[in-house]
Parts: sequence; C-alpha cells; structure tokens
Amino acid sequence: MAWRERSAWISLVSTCLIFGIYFWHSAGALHDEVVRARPFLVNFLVAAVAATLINGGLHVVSAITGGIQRADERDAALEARAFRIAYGFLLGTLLCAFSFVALLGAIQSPSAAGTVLLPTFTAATQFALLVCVAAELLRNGMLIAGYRRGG
Amino acid sequence: MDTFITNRIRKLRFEANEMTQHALAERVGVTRQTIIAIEAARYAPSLELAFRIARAFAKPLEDVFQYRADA
Repeated sequence: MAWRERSAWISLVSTCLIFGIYFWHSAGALHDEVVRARPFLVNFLVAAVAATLINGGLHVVSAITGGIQRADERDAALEARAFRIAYGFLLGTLLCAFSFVALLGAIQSPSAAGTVLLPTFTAATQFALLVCVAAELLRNGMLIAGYRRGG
Repeated sequence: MDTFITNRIRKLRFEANEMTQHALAERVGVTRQTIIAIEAARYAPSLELAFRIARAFAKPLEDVFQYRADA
C-alpha cells in the first residue's frame, strides 16, 4: 500500500475513533436540562489533542515500517479532487443549515436570556464541528477511493 | 475512470530488458503506483510526465501513448 493511502487510512480511522467518542458524549450532554459550554470546549480540546497525538504517532510508526514516498502528480490530483468534494460538502452543508435556521427565525438575539440561548448556541457549534469532521472523513474517504480505483 | 489515452508501456518495459515498474518510476520521478495506474489506463499522465516516460524508453511520445478518439 502506498504511503499516501496508508496516511489517509490512518487519518480516517483516528478521526473516526476520537471524534466518534467525542460526539457520542456530546449528543448525550445536549439532552441534559442545562447545557454549559465549558465541558464541550474542554472535551473538544482533549479530543483534538488526542487525535493529533494518535494521528501523528501512527504516521511515525507507518513511516518507520513502510517508508515515505514523495508525492507525485497523481497524488496531487487525487488530493485536489478529494479536497474539492469534501470542502464543497462542508460549505454547502453549512450554508444550507444557516439558511434554514435563519429562515425559521430560530436564531435568538443576544439580548435573550443566557440559559435559553446557550443550548441553541452549543448545539449549533456542535453541528458545525460535526460537519467539519464529516468533511475531513469524506476527504480521506475520497482519497482512499481514488487510490483503490487507481487514478 | 479509464482515460481515452492508451499506452504501450508494458510492452516497452519488456523490450527494455524487462525494466521493472519500480525502475521506470524511479527514472521518471513518480511512485510505482502511478506507473501501475498509467499502464492500466486508469490515470492520464501530464504532458511533462508523458514526455519523461517516452524519453526513458528513448522513443517519440506517440510511440508510447495513443489517443483513442473513438472512445
């Protein structure tokens, strides 16, 4: 397996694992009566650091055991296509979501009571994060599919 | 997706003292996987890479790559 394909697999699996756990906890916490932003922020920072460490560690192990290959024009073409699709999905989804929320008038003004506004804001933040993570998974998935297909 | 560009790289490698895909990849500066994809017509190389491959076999470009206009 080529270095870049291995790298995409590592990113896909580590992102899936770490952020899967993070969103599992977040989904549970969002059902609580009073949602506070701080645990989400701390959990997110822990998840981001854990993902970076696991991702980096597995890349180092993979580089030592399998070696590194320099990217060539096909790698760049596959990367560009995966990036275009994944970040098209990211922008499209966020745009649709914000348009939908704005249309419904669901966004409350900052002058609204803090405890009422906070869950909505936290849920929106979690949704935006979820879409970002989904875009990253899609990018890695597209890369792997490109390598599996051959071109 | 297959490309409209076919090639004779496999045959030329055989004629060039059974040059391996790895050796050709080293010579033209790409990965072996890219050579595999080009040989199988699953990836159309850039013009520059196509020239580099043709030069590796000391052949003109059209002896290595052909355009399938009917595809």
